[in-house]
Amino acid sequence: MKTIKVSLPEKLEMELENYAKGGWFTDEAELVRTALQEFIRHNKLKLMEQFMKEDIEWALKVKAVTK
Amino acid sequence: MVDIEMNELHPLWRKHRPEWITIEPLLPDETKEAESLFLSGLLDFAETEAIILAKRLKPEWFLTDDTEARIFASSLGMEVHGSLGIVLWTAAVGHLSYSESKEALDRLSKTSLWISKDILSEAQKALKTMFKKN
Repeated sequence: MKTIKVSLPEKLEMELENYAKGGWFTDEAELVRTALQEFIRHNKLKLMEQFMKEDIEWALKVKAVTK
Repeated sequence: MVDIEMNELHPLWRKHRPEWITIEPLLPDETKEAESLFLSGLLDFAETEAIILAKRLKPEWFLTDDTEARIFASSLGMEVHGSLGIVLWTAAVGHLSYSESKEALDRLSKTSLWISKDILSEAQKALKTMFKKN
């Protein structure tokens, strides 16, 4: 599993603590994981489209160098 | 996982599996790592196993159409491409003719893979550009 270390502004840190202490999440790490999953879910179609655009550009670049 | 799924889709898969496809199992430590990553809930198990395996094999490309797996594999420094990219790449390097790649693209757009109209049109335009005679 990959571990990411992030710095948080004080306000966000407090909100994170409050959610964890309030029993909404088992700990802060679980909240962060959930937030990331939600972000990915909400942006999935947009991300898929972006990845496909990147692949189209990649193929065009390959074509340009293999000419 | 691929072997199991392909065997279900094509009964003759095991008999006619191309020789260049090899099945590489995870090592015991890697299995534990995959289980731990899977339990984090970020990825499905097949994608998790593939990423852990790719960390060891260090392939030139990691191929997936799964958004989460693509993000995760990219974050580990892997070069990731999807089915659309592979269809266009085969056209770019000359493995497929214009009509073959156009047909492959058309077939891909009819699978369960989500491709927007804009992207499909962009991909068709890219194919035309690739095969345009100078």
